[in-house]
Amino acid sequence: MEQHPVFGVVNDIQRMCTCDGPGFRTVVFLKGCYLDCRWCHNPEGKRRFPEVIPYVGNCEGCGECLTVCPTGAVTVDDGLGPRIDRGLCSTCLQCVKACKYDALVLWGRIMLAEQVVAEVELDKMIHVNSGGGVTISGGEPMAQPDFVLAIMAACKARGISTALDTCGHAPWEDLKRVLEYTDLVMFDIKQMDGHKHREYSGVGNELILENAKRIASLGVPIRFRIPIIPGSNDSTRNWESAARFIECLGDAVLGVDLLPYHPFAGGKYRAFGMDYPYPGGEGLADDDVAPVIDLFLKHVPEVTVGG
Amino acid sequence: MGQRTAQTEKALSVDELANRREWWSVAQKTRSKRLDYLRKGVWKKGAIGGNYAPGIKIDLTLPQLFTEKWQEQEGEPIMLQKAHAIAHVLDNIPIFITDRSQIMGYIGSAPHQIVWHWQGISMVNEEIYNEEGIIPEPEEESLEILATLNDYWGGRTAVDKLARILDPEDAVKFMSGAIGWGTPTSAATYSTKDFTYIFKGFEALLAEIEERMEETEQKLQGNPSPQLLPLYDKLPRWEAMQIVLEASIRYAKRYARLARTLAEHFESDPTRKEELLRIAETCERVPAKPPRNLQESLQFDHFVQVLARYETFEGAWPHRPDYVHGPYYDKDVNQEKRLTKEEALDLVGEHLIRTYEVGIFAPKWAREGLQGITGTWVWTMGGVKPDGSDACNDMTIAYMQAARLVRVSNPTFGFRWHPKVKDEVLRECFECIRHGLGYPSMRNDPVLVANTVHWYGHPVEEARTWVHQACMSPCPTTKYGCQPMRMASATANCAKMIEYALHDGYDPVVNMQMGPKTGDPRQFKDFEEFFGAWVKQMEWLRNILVRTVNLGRVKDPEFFGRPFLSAIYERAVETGTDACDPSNGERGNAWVTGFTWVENADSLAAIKKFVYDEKKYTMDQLMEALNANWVGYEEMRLDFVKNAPKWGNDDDYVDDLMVRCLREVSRHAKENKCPSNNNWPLLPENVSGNIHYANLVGALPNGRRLGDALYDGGISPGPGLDKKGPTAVLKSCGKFDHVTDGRAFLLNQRLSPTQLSGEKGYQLWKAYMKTWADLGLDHVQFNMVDDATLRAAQKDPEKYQEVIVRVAGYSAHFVDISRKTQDNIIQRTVQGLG
Repeated sequence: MEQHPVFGVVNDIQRMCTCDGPGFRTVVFLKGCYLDCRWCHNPEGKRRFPEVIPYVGNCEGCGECLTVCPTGAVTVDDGLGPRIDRGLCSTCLQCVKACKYDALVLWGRIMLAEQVVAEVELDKMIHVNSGGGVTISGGEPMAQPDFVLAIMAACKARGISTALDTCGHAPWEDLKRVLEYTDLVMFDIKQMDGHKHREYSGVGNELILENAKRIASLGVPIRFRIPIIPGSNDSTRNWESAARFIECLGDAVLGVDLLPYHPFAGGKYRAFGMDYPYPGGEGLADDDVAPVIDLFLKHVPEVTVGG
Repeated sequence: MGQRTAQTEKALSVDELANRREWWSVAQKTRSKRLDYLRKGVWKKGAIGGNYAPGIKIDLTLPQLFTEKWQEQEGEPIMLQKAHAIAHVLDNIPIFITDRSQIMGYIGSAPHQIVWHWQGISMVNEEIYNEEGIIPEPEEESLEILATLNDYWGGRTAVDKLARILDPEDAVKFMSGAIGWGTPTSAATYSTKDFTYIFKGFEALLAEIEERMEETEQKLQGNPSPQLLPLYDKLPRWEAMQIVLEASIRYAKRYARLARTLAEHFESDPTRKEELLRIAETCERVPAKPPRNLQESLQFDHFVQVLARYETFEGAWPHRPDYVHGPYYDKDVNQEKRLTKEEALDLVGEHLIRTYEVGIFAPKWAREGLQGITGTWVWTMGGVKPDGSDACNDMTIAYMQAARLVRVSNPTFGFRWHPKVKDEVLRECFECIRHGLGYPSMRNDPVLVANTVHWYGHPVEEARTWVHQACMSPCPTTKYGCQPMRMASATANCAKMIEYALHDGYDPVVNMQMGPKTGDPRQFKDFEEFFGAWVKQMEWLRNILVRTVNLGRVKDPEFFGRPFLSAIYERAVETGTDACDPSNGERGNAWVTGFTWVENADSLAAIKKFVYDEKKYTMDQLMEALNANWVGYEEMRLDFVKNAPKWGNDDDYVDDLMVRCLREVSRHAKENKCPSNNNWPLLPENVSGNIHYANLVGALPNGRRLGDALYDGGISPGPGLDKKGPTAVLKSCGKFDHVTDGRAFLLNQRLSPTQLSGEKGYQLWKAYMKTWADLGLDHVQFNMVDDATLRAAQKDPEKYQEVIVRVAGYSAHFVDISRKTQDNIIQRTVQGLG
């Protein structure tokens, strides 16, 4: 098969992460997501394409962006900073270049898979020494399956261990191809009730649960990442249901990582000048999480908080 | 039953506190009552944001006692005159015993006092008049005493004498304060100490001196010849050594007498009474005779350190206490079971507190450079024995555990890591780091042993005995390896190298021609020509500092004189010389400390890329912007900050330049020779010189403006400029050879504590350390405090007295550091492990 250069949209590459898989990880955050979770912590990761996002707090009101914008997409409200009309914006980046104060920032870089791999490879020594590797996360990485496949395959070929952090909502054909080069799957389960899943995340969970079963049956090591979202999925019934589901998946399951809700994303939404649709109050206390840990421990070999 | 519940409760709350990372409270709850009392009762002597704590006063008794005897002995050879004066001080200085303490000795006459050393430089002495708050009451009377002292010592201090023979041009340039700091005299210095020799006991040293004197006196009765003549000078030196050794023994016995008097007539608590009698017995025994147990060895050690600081301002504390005291710990705790582990820990913890308590007055500029502490007292732990086997012992572990219990910011530890270190010891290092102490710094032992052999030709067995001579530089603790005097004035403000290359040797900040005229860079045809100018400025800057220091060094026995240090230096005792006399066989271990070093590589890379390779700006434009301090050129400045290659990103463009600069310096380091005819390698590190020099270094092509803090030091990348993460930093630093390309290289790493919790945290740290070692780096130190804590500490310093952070070569309590340094620390890239 002829090799075409594969490219995709990368939001960020973070190094020496310790929360997204074993050892020190280089985490590649891709842009674009199939889901629309109300509590989303990475609103900049939702859309599939590069976009200009304002950091309203940095704006000094100099008005340079208004002057350079060819389509009139940028407006600056007094004290509120710049706003961008996405219908008009052509992502020409003139405003980003013009802004001296980092108040308009481009999110999402188009990168070749080989460029990503080169960045990942910089950290290979510490991956090998720590039993770490690369983690592809998002957004939802499976929104760009060919790109993920190319990165994973190349990393494997260079002796770098790979992990996929996915919500599971992806065509099985795509997942199956990627799994060939995946050492570890980190799989989100947000809600066992299909209706509620649709209500809070925009899609049902049938495909997700089906994919979880298929991955497990292939024997690819899998960890389940379960966010605890007060007011959405935080019910004993949901936890019981999830724990039993996971228990039935067999030996491929390494454990469960509970991810208690925290309000840190609020700051990000404010900076972007967006309303946070899920301002669920304070973060969860240890006492709130303890019974959930106990419950899962009855069904799975290992439970961690925070991964 | 009730007791058991209380214990469980206590255990639980310690765990909870640990979970919240409230380490000061954890220490409070877990340390013994004695350590708690001693720790809380100790006076803080380091300056807080450049100012001393309320209640701290300088001690006037010491200089008065010294000076009255000194004047009486006028006309004697300097070493003898000084020996009499020191003996007079030791016989008459008030002494005290702190409740519950077991280790004796203090420099000064009361625990709240700091020593004002007056023999160094009269210009600095006079700064005392501007020091509010530390002049003892009644102030008027004290000022009169000070004036009398200053009137006498004016013109008579070591540097005053040196200044008369210095080249006047060198002197003026040095005094500008722009290129380096320190005083070229052992009036402000530090010395390596060989405890295998010292622990023979002062009586044995006295016997050896006596023997030498008799032998020499006999020779003097022989046939007259030129060979006999130098012997006449030796006799008074030996006599001086005798005088201070005898006075030292008497000084210890004064403590013995006081302890015995307290025990027999005043103490009503039978346990304390017993302790006081043991103290009396200990102080009667040491330093006169060799120590027999842990308390005696620690006491002997502390007396030696205190006595050395009665003689002069020793600003560092080269020591390897786990190696020195390990055998006594083993004997007492493991073999003879005289002490329980807890009792031993009390002694070790107090050793740290007694050291922390030592206070010596420093002028404002030095306090700014060494914020929060009296000196850079880095104790060396771990490492190997002369035969290459692992030297870690139970005492290594005891010191690490005690450090977490007493949490003092000084001394700190530097750990000699090597592949044979046992996991249990490595875990202790990690626990200290995790507990936010900021130490131990980790040193790569095989690399540094090789480095010590490479630069000075120390035999490998001797190199393996090394201790941190100050913050960073290894020095063997052997007869010919010990360095009696290290002068901080070989400390170069390296950013001036690039600044002078840009300005034809002219200093636009202090407004004078400093370096050689290397030409107007606007006329240079290519980068090579520019780099050539940099090399010339670099050589000039090192030369002027090294010249001055070499001169100060050979003149020191004549201008200052160190009877006590000589008496504990084997080669000085053997030859009847001053310990600082380079002719007595010292092998040489000199280095130039390189402050503000990385600015050179980043600036050269910016010039190479933007002016010569891409021709994006002309040299004219750049000079215009620099001369305007970048004012009015903000867009261009940001381009230089953001788009020029920066050190620490695994980018060969700039990393190659760094390597090239280091190789030029290392070549020159072998052309510069010390009085022992040995080399002068560079050692990049900053202490907090990056703040001190902020107003003395002009605008630079890395985008820095006059007044901006410089990079935080050594080979650490500029704050926020290491965009590619910690591995890239390590890889950049691994591109040059840490054996042959310089003496040692300081690297700061901020680690996020939340990510390093639990067993996983330890395994990750170990993986980091393995990578560091694989790349052959010689140093790394960790700062484990998170930003939120630091910000909170700025707002509410009262509540965060215990927060310790790493500032370059040492650790200090965060709240004691000036606001500017605090901001700088927070701004350092958090190497987010997560």
